[in-house]
Amino acid sequence: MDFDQMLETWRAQSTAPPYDVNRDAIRQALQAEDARVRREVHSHRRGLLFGWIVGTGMAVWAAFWIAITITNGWDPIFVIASGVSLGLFALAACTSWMGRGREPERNFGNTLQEEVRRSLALVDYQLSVAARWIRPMLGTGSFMVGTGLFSWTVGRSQDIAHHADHPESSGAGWFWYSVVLVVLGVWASFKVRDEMRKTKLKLETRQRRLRELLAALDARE
Amino acid sequence: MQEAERNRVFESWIDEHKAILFKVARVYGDTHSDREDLFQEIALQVWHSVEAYRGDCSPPTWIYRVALNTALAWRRRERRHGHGRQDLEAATGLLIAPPGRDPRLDWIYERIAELDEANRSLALLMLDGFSYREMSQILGLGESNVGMRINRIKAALAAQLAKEEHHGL
Repeated sequence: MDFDQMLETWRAQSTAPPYDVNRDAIRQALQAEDARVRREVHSHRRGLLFGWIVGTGMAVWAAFWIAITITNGWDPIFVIASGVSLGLFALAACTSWMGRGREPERNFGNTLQEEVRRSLALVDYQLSVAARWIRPMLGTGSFMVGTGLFSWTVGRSQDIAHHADHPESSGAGWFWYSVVLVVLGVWASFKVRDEMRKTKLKLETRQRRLRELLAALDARE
Repeated sequence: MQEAERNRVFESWIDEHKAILFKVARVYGDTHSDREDLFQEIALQVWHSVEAYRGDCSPPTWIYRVALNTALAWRRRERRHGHGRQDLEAATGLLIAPPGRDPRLDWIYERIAELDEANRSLALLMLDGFSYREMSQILGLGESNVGMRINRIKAALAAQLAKEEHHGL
């Protein structure tokens, strides 16, 4: 066999491939991949939708009570409590916004190295989100405490507005509400931190592999 | 891009260019189950890449780029985590091998497998008739570097051919 015959033998593969593809198997693999991607997208969208609904609901609720506070000329303590709870909501919104991670670079060329760089940029982005676990936790904490404080303000101001004779009767309720709030907050925080640590470990391994691959590709130059 | 459109493009790419996937899987996979695993991985990545394809290079060039990137990443992953994997566990029945195969083709693949990982990519592209310019675009190497490497690969293959001919291949 000479060089030309070798090329001829090689190129014959394109017209008569040495294997055939099991169409059912590849379709199954694609369906599984498609289902996985869809699950991820749906879960992300559900999270966003939930965030928007809760956020909008809270904004409407807060606006309503601020209007009532202003028109009724309430006690300064309630105005301060309302202000603090609104500040906490703002802090929750800020930390959530800051915890979203930096946008990944999108403009890459067509070379193999650029393809690896594109994958690396995506992993860097995912890592930048996973590494900032303290921010979503701070956001969740601020949101929960803000909600509690705001509800207390509304509840107590209602008691006063209706001249409640036994304001201490709601004290136990607020105590248990606060306990549940703190327990839920601590539990959610640890849960989030654990999940983010696991994700971070996986992403760091992938990032290391991609960097090695990129270094190997660059070293060929 | 609509889901149906993406699947249509993917199906047409697989129909027309499946040989690229076979070649890359054959060159970078050591055993049959490795090749099946890698073939599936490449097919999935090609399917994902359909949306990112902007038409600024030909589909074979694009598919080669995705396939080689996937294969190189797969090799590194397998080297670390794939030890001791049982062939039966990995076999997916994705590739159907016909009964008779040209033994000269196996010989070519064996020679390519003797090259280092980066030069395997170049050998594949060279044998498929890509120009130096296209190879440099796909692999991100300078054209002169590609030319130098291709000359070495050609010389090595020619020497092997001469040796085999001497022994009566």
